[in-house]
This record gives sequence, structure tokens and C-alpha cells, in this order.
Amino acid sequence: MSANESANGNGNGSASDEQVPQRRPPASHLVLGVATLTGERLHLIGERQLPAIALAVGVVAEGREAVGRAVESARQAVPREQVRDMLDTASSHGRRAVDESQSETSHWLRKVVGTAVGAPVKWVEDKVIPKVIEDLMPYMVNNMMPKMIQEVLPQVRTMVVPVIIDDLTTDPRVRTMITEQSSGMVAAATDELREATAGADDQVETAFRNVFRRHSNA
Amino acid sequence: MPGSPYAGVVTRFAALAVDAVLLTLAIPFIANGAPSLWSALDGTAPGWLDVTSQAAAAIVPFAYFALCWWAGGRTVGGLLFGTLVRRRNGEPVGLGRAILRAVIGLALPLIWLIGMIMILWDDRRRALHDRVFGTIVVRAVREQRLGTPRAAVAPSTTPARK
Repeated sequence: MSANESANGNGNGSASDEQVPQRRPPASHLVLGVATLTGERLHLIGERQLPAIALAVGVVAEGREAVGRAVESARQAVPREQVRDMLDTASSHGRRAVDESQSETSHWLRKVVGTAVGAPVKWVEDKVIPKVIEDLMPYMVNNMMPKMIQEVLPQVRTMVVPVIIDDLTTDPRVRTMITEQSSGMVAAATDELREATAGADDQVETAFRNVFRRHSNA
Repeated sequence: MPGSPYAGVVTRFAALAVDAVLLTLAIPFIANGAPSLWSALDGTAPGWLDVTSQAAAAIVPFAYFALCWWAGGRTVGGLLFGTLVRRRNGEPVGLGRAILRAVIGLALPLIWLIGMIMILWDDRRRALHDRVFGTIVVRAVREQRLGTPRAAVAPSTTPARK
């Protein structure tokens, strides 16, 4: 007799199928049914194991009923308010214990990790990293940077420089600056020209007067 | 006279040379521009256009100098070298005086140029035509440095050395 047939208490499978209700059985029945069916299909449950399984299931069912009866009798014996106070007290005690343990653990971990990690990190920062950078610098300067520049420079020329030039040429401040510089250069050149001709005026006049004074003295 | 507020002979000749170059470039264009354009568009230019263009080209130097001296006291050459034509008391030159100065100067260019030699010994660096028309030529830059234009070209009470 299979577990299915034993669970139904009937050897005729087709008759039992007609008697099975259409709604889903309770979860405990489902778990028990799936477990026993799986055991039979895998040949883990045989004729000899089945009585033991039935005994275990029966003991568990009896135990559960006994616990239910004890809880019901306790509920009737103890007032509901007292039970609620007990539960609240227990909950607060539990919460306090959890908080304290978390705080203590966190403090302890921070202390342990700080002393264990801080010193090595400082040593790495002070000793290792500068040495590594110092050792790497010649390689970077002599080998890496030229290659990077060689690769990047054409792109900078084609992509970045035109944009910068566009920005500069369209920027009104730059235009104003160029105009001011140009006008300043013209003004400076004009001033120099005027100064030069003024000096030439003075020299020619002085020379002329010197010549005529010499002649008049003679 | 080092540091004089008046423009000397070199400056004035240089400014005159710039004006001469400008007029040398402009006069042929004025004289031939319109007839050439007419010829290019419609064959031979009419005679009246040639005459008008020639007359305009002949008038341009007089108009250029007279209007420049009257309007701003300076020609393009004067602008470049920083000179200003003023009356003896420092005031701007009137239109009549400017026209007379330009006409006489351009009609008698030799006398104009020889008269420029007088700049060398005149206290206020006046040429012959400056004495005739009561004008002086001052430096614009020096005029600004002195603060007031009149201070730079104040009427001189001392007679000019002859």
C-alpha cells in the first residue's frame, strides 16, 4: 500500500480521487504529502519505514494538541493585562540589551581596527607612497609622458585648439582687449613719431642758430 | 628753442609731405575716376564730365586745406604729427582766414616753402604765411600737457625776432 493510499485510508485510487475536496488542503498536510510522495518516488520510503513515519507524525500531532491545550489553560488562568505587561517588559529588556551590545561591540571594533589599521596606513603614506612616486617619476617622465603627449597632442590640436580659438575670437572681452591693444600700439607709435620730429625740430633750430651766431660773431 | 609748444620746421614739412602724398593719390582719382567709369559703362565720357572732374580735382587741394584748418585746425598730416593751426591768440581759425591761407599758399608754393625758413628764427616758429595771416602752428600733445590750450599758445607780447 502506498503512502497516498494509506493517507486516504482506501485502496481504491479512483474512488478516493472523487472524494478529495477541490479546495487546497492545509499547509501541514501539503508538506507531509509532498515529503512522503517524494520519498516513495525516490525509493527512500518503503514498507518498513512507513510505520515509523506514521508514528512520528502522530506524536508530533499529539504534542501540538497538548501544547495548544496548555496555552489555552494558561490564557484562562492568567489575566490578559498581566500577560501584556510581561511581554512589554520582556520586549524593553530585550531592546536595551540589543542596544548595549551593539554600542559596546561598535566601540570595541573601532578601537581594534583603529589601532590595527591606522599605524600601517600612516606608515604607507609617509614611507611607501613617496618612495614609489619618487621611483616612478623618471619612468613616467621619460617613457610614459612622451607617449601620452604623442597620442594626445594630435587630438588636442584637432579638437581642443579650434574650440578655444573660437571661444577667444567670439568673446567680446577678448575683442575689446585686442582693439584696445591695437589702438594703444598706434597711439604709442604716433607718440614716438611726434617725439622724434619734435626733437628734430629742436636740433635743426639749434644748429641753425649756432651757425648764424658764429657768422655774426665773426 | 627746445621744448617749444610750437611745431618746428621738420614737423611742419613732414606733415606737409603727408598731405602732399594724399593729394597726389586723390587728385588723379578724382580727375579720372568718374570719366573712366563712364567710359567703361557707356563708351566715351562726355566733355562736361571731363571738365567737371578736372575742376573738382583742381579745387580739392584748396578745399582740403581750407576745410581741415577751419573744421579742426589740422589736416591728416597735422593729425599724424600732432600739429594744430590756430589764430595768434590761440583760437580756432575762421573759414575766411583758412581759405585765404590755403589759396595763397597753394597759388604761391615757392614763396610758401621759402617762407617756412622763417620758422627757424621766429620765437613762435611762425612761417611767412603765418605772419601774413596771423596764425600759429602748435603741438597738440604739448598743448594737452600744458593743461589749457590757450596757455600753450598765449599771445606773445615780445616782438618776433627779425
